[in-house]
Amino acid sequence: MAMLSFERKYRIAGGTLVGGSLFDFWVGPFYVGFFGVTAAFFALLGTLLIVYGAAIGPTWALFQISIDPPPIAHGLAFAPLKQGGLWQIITVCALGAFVSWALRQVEICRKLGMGYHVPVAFSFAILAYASLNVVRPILLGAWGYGFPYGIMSHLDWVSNVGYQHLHFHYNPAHMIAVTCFFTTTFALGLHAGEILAAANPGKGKPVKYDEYESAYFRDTIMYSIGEIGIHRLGYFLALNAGLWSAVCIIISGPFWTQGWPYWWDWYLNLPIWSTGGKI
Amino acid sequence: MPQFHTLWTHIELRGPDEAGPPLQIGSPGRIGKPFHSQWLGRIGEMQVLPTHLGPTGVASLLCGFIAIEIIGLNMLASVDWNPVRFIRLLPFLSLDPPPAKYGLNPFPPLREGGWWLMAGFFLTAAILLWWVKMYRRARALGMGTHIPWCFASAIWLYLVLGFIRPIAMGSWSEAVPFGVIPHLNWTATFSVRYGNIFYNPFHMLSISFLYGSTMLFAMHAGTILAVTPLGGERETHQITDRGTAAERAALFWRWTMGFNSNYESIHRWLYWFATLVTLTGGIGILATGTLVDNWYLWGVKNGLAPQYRPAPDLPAAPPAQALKTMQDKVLGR
Amino acid sequence: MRIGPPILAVGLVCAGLFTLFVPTWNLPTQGTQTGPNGPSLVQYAPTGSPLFQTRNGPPPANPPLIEDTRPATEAYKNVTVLTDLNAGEFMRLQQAITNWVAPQQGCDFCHAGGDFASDAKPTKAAARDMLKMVRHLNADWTEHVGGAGVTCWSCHRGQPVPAEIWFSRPPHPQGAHMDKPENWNESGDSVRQFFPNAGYELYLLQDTPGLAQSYTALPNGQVADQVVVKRLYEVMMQMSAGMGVNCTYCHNSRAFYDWGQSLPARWTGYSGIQMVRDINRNVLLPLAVRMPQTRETADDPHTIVLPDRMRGPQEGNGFVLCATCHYGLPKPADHAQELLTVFPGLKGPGREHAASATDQGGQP
Repeated sequence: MAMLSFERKYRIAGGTLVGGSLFDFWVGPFYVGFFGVTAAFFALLGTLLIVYGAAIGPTWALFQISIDPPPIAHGLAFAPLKQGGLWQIITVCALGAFVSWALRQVEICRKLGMGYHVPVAFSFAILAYASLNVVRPILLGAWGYGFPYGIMSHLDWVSNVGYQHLHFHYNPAHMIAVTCFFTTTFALGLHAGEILAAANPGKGKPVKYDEYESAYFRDTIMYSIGEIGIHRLGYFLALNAGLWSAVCIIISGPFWTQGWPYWWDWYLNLPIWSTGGKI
Repeated sequence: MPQFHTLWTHIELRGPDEAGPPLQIGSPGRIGKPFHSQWLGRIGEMQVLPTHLGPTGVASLLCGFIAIEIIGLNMLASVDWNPVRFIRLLPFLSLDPPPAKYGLNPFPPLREGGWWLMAGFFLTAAILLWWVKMYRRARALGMGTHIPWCFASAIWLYLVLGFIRPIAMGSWSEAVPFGVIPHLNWTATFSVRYGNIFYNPFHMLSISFLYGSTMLFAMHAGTILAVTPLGGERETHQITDRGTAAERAALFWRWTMGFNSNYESIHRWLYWFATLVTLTGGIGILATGTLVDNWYLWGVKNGLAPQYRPAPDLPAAPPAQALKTMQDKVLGR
Repeated sequence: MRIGPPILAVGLVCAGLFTLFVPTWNLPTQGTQTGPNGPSLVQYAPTGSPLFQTRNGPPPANPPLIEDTRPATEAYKNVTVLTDLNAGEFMRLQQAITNWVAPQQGCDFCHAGGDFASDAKPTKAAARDMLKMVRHLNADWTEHVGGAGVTCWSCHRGQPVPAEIWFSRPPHPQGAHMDKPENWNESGDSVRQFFPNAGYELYLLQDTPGLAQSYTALPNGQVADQVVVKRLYEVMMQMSAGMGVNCTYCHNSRAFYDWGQSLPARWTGYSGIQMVRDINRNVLLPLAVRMPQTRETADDPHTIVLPDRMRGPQEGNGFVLCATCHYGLPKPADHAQELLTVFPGLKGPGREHAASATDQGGQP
């Protein structure tokens, strides 16, 4: 049975953004809705095109399959199917599927009387994807700047884009993004460990609640951010990881073509250093 | 005694300070007079302190202080004790491990990595003592020890980088220098040196868990914040006594992707994703240079590397003889 | 009174203005593909290294050719290098060299007083070495200089000492107990100049092999030491900055070592490294040994002009690197191709000719 014991009372009509009651139903555990139909359409089409791209490509080895964008010489035009046209259609499908998915989440939020926090968060991930394969290529004037769809080929792309800027770790936005990624994971480990520790104190011991959770963090790091607070902090950090990832790739190329180490020249030339005499 | 003190409201309530659960007999008392911060209250709890230091906490802070002093004073010495130069060059300053000629010598000259070894020792001591403190506080409060074990996974990566891998390679020079830019340079150089770290499967796993952790935290935090008006942020309460917040949160994901966890199991997902980032990362670093020298070629060997169609004007590799002729010309042979 | 929000707003505006205006952002730019589709083998239009590009102007006008078909060796005394020119060509080249190298100092930079045959000035010996070097480069280093070739102007650009050179530095003085790990160039105003140049000696002067990566997946002892790889990285960075290109101009970064995946420019670049080594080892090292007074008088502007950041207590010898000739461009804007057609004396007969002459018992 696809329904949880308490699920029936939540399955109510309404809350849709588009399509009224036409697609307002469930298939198994899945809610459909208008955007469920579009998401399924784009996802299926995109996946089949990737499979087709693999079929006309040189290999079926999973890690080696790569759907490449058009050559840079094609600019922003439509490319022939086998020279990057597939990549273009798949990109459209991916964006269609991602946006449909986010809007479907909005509909589900409305049905359940929840805030829109999850679709908003997801839209940051969509933003990062769009930055990579739509915004940056447009700014640079060719679809060829997008990353190829392949398990290893996208890593080769990342490697080469990094070395186009000599040493990508010096990218200030990349620094912020990496810091956010690590800090998010750090906070996640603390939060998840805390909840598990409170709920699983060991055989024969009572489950602990927020008094103990707060006390644990105050005892160890002086401050406990609290139950809402940790989720706000995690939400903030995770979204910033996505946002700054998008920023760090948007500025690499369209706004900065040299090595990232040289971006910091302004630091060496701050007027304040002259106060120390000739150094 | 159950307390409900994070009701969803913009009003910051200032109740009596929480002193924390009673301590065990014989344990040193909590220290620090609690105070409230309005700015912190915008995000989470207002109260800061009291805290519990205990002998391990004091020892850990002391060791950490010594480690930072050693690093900082060495950096200051390297700019001839000039404070302006120190601030200007701080991002570039470095405390390096001993050069390769000293191998695993535990007592290299102070100026050639001796200070690095000492700083590493005290920093490691500080971290391990902090781990003991985290563990003992969890036990003292009658809670599980999940956080210390997650912390242990991070310590594993730290030890692999600075201790275990250098020992496996037979030289302290393999370790990471202390410094902002130096550790970034070390990272990039390390990747080039061993072929291409992107082809290291444990690096792939670690990155996947890192991105996965961020995605899961966004999903989880977003869900919890979305059901906070229904009391959904009180997670341990929802675990033991499911309310409508938990039901809606579960159904949101069930309807979205056909699968849902519950208030307890989501934290197991989160816990393992966070823990596995450093666990797999440490394995990947440890295998580099000990088991595998060129990760790209390892990838080629295992059928990972895609073949790109060569660009039209790409010439073939120059014959070995051409390279030799050129070198001979320089060396006057 | 709520002061938080205004302070926050002002802070954000300041941070935003700072981010927009303080770093020297590049405007949107074009790129060209250097390799296969997919893995982003791209070179942005060479806007890189504006640091060096200030020297890229047109060369001074060529002096007029005065018809004089006597061999130079007959018309002038003590001619040892440009023996294959006639007197007219010889004088024209002499005047051009003055324009290219010592326009302010004039003939007296190398020649003692009115006696043009005198070898009294050490700069004259140096100029002969430089001429031999240019003739050697144009004849024997076609791998790198190709058909275009090089002239004195390629590096000197109107200055007795080229603007971009490097000096070997003595080891950093060690503290008694504290290390001084990096030999920063602290007066550098770019991170490029700021990084230590310890690697230049390893790779541009000594014969250190550039192999950093293993040719086998499993350990075979081939991987270079971490510090050595760092030095190699720094040398590659000077190459990149000197020419205003990025790593993917020559390499597919997934396998830096692999010639099969590298791009055409890597072959030119490699021969360039070898050529720089040739110049540094076989020309500049012996030259500097013979000419200690060049440095001692370095602060006298009428004798020799050193760029500001090279003044002061420099120790060691001056050597060339990629930027010495390239001045921030992949193909130097030195107009060498046009100049060489005008000044045929800048191309020598070549090493093979010299070698065969030796074999026949002739004078090299």
